[in-house]
Amino acid sequence: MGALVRGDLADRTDGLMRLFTILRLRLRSLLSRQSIDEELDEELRYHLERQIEVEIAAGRSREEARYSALRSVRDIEQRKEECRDMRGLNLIDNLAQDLRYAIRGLRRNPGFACLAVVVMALGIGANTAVFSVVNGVLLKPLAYRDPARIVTLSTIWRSGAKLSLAAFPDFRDWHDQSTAFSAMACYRSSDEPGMTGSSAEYVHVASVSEEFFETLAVTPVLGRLFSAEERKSGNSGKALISYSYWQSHFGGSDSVLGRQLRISGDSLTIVGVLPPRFHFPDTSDIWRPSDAVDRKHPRTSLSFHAIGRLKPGVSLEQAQAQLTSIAVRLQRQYPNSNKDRSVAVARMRDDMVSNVRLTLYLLLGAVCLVLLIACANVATLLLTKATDRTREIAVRVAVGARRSRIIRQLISESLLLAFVSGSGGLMVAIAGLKALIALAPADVPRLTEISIDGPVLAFTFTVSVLCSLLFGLAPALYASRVDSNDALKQGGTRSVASGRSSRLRSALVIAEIALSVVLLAGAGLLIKSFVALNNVALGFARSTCC
Amino acid sequence: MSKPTDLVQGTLDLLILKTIALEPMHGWAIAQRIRQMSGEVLQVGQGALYPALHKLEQNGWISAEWAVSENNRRARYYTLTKAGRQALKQEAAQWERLSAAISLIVRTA
Repeated sequence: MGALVRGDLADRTDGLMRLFTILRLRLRSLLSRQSIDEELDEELRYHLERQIEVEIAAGRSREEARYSALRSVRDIEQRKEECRDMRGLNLIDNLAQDLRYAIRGLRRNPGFACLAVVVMALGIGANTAVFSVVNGVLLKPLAYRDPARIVTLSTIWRSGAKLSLAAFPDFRDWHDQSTAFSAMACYRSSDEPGMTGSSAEYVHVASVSEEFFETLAVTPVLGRLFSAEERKSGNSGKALISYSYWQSHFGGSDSVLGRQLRISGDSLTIVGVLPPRFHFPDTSDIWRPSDAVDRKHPRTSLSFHAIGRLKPGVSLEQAQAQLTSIAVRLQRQYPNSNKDRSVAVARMRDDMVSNVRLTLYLLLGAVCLVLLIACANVATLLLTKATDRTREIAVRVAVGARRSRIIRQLISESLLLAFVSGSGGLMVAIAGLKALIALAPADVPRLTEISIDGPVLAFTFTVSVLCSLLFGLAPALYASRVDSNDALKQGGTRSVASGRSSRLRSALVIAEIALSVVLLAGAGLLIKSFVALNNVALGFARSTCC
Repeated sequence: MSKPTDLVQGTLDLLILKTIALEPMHGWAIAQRIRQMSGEVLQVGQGALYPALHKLEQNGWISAEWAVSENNRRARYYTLTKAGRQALKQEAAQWERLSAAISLIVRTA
């Protein structure tokens, strides 16, 4: 048994070594092509010389021997070609050739190339910009440890009303009576006048309960979190600041710990700095433990947000069930304040983005339609170009090019177009994204998490390739199906735009019109809803109210 | 250039592997040895031999090296690798099975 096992291991290492050898050979084939060609030449020449020697030894003259040997080695070039094929060199050669040809082709029609690139770049750019918003807001997990476990707790009523707030005493009871959470916290935040040194401004300040930072699993980059007494005391006089606040107001210096801030008249000592890009909730820059006033809020006052971190292994449904039964108990205990009141648990990210999810997906759908229209445009352009090239393609077919090779060459032209427009699209997206974020309404969550990162780049790349296939395939298939005889005849480039190509073109135009109509109709409806929303009677005269 | 028999590609691989199992050889010597050992029946031409050799090299079954040959000229010598030895055993067994089966059918009257 042992011998078998050992043999197996040896086999595997042999296999690995063989893999390395093969890889090394392939790499060498790729990189030192010229020396390999020369070696091949030399090898075949050696064989030839030996053959000639044999013929001479058999009594022929040198000339005859050479002639006979050469004859026996028909098509030396073809042999060499076969050898090179075996070494997989031809594929790379062909691709390189296709690329060079494609570049030349585009340079010959700069106007067409520019037009196609601009149209595609706009389409791809718009898509990339919207996708980065979708990615940043809807798809990316929250930037906390194990973010799927973080949940929000909202107060709901039997009538179906829901408020994403809680009463402090209710929160206390949920916290003390449930076992489904490893941490639970409540917080409130507001803009308050703050003074650091001599500058006074409004700062967003959050008052947070004891387990706030444990719920979010945040650790400070400098200093410490609040100590147990500070959290409980209700008048701690301590504060934590955000990373950006540290940079902007204290120059990122280590001496920040122990310095004082004045918030709404209270003097607070800074004990720690939180990690970069952490501003939860909203745009907070200062955090302080919730104070005595907070804790005295009655059960009727719903002024706090509540969050929790599920224990590992506890499901959302289990937590919900537990909290619901606690809420029922509270209903009985405090019939005045808690009548018909219960609690709803939802994952924090879902809760945060639910209001914009539909809108964002609709937006993504719309720009996809725009991109399709752009592709149809470019396909029409390419189709026109293809009919102009029937003669050139007919020549290539006559010389012996296989249809697949021609298709591959036409597709590589489309790929080149797509890559260039993809890069252009990226630049459009970068500019457009800045504009999008600036114009975004205030209640779009996670705006700061939107950026052009890995997934977005992958998206751009995929979209570019798909588009190139989309607008390149049909013209390529059409163009390569050329009847050499027809095309090479005298009136070569007359409209071989026979039924087939003009039908294709009509189809493309119809598709474009249809898509544009859909977009226009959708846009019109949205504008109408927007106007209607704006004009909804609020029930009070806005001008005299605020 | 092969006369009486047309060799199938796979069989040529087997012959090459077997020939260089004894000692490293260059292409010309391999063709000669195959001709001799088969009693002048199998004559492998340049056109079939070298593509086969290069394919075997790409597979990692044989390795190649430049060396000075018997007539003081440079030639490319091929050796069997460990994986190649393995492959030779397998291909030989395969061939035995195949040829036995064919003989069985052909010989029965």
